[in-house]
Amino acid sequence: MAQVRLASIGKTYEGATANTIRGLDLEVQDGEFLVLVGPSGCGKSTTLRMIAGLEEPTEGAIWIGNRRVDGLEPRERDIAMVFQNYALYPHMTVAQNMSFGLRLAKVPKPEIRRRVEAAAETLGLSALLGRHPKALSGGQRQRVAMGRAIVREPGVFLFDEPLSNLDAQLRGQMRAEIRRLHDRLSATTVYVTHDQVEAMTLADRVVVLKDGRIEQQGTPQELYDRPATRFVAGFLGSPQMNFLAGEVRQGALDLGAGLVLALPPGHALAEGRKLDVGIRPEAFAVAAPGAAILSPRADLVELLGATSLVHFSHADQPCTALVPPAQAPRAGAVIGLTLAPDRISLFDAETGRAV
Amino acid sequence: MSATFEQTSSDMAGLAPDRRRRRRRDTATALAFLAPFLLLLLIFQYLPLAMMAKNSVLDYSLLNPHAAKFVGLRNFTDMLDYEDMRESLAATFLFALGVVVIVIPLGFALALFLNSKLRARGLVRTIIMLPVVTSAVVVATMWNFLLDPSNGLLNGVITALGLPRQPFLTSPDQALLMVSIMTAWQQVGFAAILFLGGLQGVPNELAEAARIDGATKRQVLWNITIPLLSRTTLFVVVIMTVFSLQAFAPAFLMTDGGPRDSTNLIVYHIYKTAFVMQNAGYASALSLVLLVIVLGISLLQMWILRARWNY
Ligand SMILES: Nc1ncnc2c1ncn2[C@@H]1O[C@H](COP(=O)(O)OP(=O)(O)OP(=O)(O)O)[C@@H](O)[C@H]1O
Ligand SMILES: [Mg+2]
Repeated sequence: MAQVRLASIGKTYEGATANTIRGLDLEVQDGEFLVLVGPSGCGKSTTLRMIAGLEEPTEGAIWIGNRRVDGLEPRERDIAMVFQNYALYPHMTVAQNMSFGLRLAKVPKPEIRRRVEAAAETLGLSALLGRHPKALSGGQRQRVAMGRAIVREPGVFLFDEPLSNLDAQLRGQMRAEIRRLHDRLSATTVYVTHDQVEAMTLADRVVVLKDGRIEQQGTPQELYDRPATRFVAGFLGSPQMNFLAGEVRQGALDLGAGLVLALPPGHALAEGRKLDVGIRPEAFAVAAPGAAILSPRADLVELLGATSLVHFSHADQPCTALVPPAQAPRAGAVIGLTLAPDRISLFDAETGRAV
Repeated sequence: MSATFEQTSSDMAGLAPDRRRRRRRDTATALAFLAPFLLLLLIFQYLPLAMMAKNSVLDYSLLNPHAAKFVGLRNFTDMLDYEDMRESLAATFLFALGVVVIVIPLGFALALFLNSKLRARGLVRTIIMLPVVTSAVVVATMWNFLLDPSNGLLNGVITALGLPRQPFLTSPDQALLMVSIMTAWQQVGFAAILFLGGLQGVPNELAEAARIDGATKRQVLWNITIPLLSRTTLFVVVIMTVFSLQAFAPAFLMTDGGPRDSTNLIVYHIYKTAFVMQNAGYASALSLVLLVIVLGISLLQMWILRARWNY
């Protein structure tokens, strides 16, 4: 077990004009499950590969445990990694795939057997140990890739979008399984994904990356409830947060088209300040006609079973409300909605930072 | 394969007459396009082959074709009764072995080199491909100069180093090895290109996964890269073997099959039998045997590739 520390890491790929990672400081506690999220191309894989030793940082230092590891080979770093495409050795059986690292490390044969069998048991692979990867389903391959990491009993687990090639149901199953494994092994884990559901459900702590910098970090709930920027707010949560242009007028928040909200408690904002107002779809509630503060026409209603999504526009900006199916209107009908002032987030219209 | 065939034939059964007619017209068009090539193939490949098969049971001289006489399988029993075919085949296989043993590791090493992030890659690729596309006659002549016992460049270097002069092509112990080395030199670029193709088919991620699993660069090479190139390697071995079995220019231009028949490669032996010793019937029989050997090697390769290493 080990903690991981990245200090002012910078990375510029050879031949690239811009730097991919800039001044990244990151600490992963011993036993922590850290999830790196961010849009495509923000540098998640690059960060992970630098921890693994597959890429070298152009500047800064990396520690694993209390050893400085940048410049060391991957095999000297006590890490295991699960790749997006699994990277199973096609010419080896499941058992050989899983034992490869142990055989290289000259672990005694009985010990290898014991560990491989234990891991196969945990992952439900016992019956498949003699097969080649070609003869496995995607989900089984994914498990073998996990098993290959587990048997090594490394200090740090690295995952690069390990579930992105699976179908939704299998992804849900494997997500739960990964969390269970982590609870049992409590190994330090860095997990890269661009799936915000995975981030929310798996993480002890989420780090949101944008353009090679940390945008915000914290527990999933903190990030969800108190996003530091409009970007984070939009990135976490599904369906996505709504953003409406607003302005402070006479001590209240004018959202246009006649919608005026009281400023959330604790906010004293200058008159005329322009804001982006973030409203989670579930912050809306259906109201009786007299009590409604806005009454839009539903453009589209999506029934999701347990909930319904009502799409409408407010002052020409698209907006979505999450309502119970029983209260969902028909498409084209008018719906009355209320909104609690303490359920909104305010962002500066220029900088995107929370105010 | 069989599934698509079944599908097509069942399609055929259910086709409306005009569609069937169109399909027949398509076949005719295809045949028309293929005809010139098929004709050439027939004239220059299959007709000579058939004539060779016929000649193999004749006692037949090119100087006096009309005196040909049917001898049954005597040409073939002669091969067993006399030593010439066995000796020539032994020399040829030894030659092929030499070529393969040199070409495989060198070609592989070159491919690794070309596959690395190298600046002068294009240039190196051209350099190693140059001998491959150069005429075998030119190459043989050039190596004749290099290996010349008295004025050759190689002996110049050797004596400059204070070592004894070597006879090379004039020694029964060295000639075959020299001819193998020359042929390997000529073919190594081709092997490298084939290996390079194989290497580029191995996903980078596998090497990365192995490095994370604790492998050194060398262990990645031994445990991942080389096993995954088994198919390519077999292919290169077969290509090089078949090519070597058919080599003619080195024996013809450099050694005359000597000294003491040590480089009497089978194709050269066949040529001498037919055109110098005027025994075209026996030469035809020898050719037929060579054909069967090459065919056998190719079939063996296909059989192995079907059964193994198809990950
Ligand atoms: N080997 C490389 N050489 C040059 N540029 C690279 C290389 N690998 C990645 N990049 C660039 O670095 C940036 C970050 O890439 P990275 O793979 O880390 O993104 P990511 O966050 O993992 O994205 P995704 O979610 O699509 O996997 C991208 O702009 C990419 O084009
Ligand atoms: Mg990535």
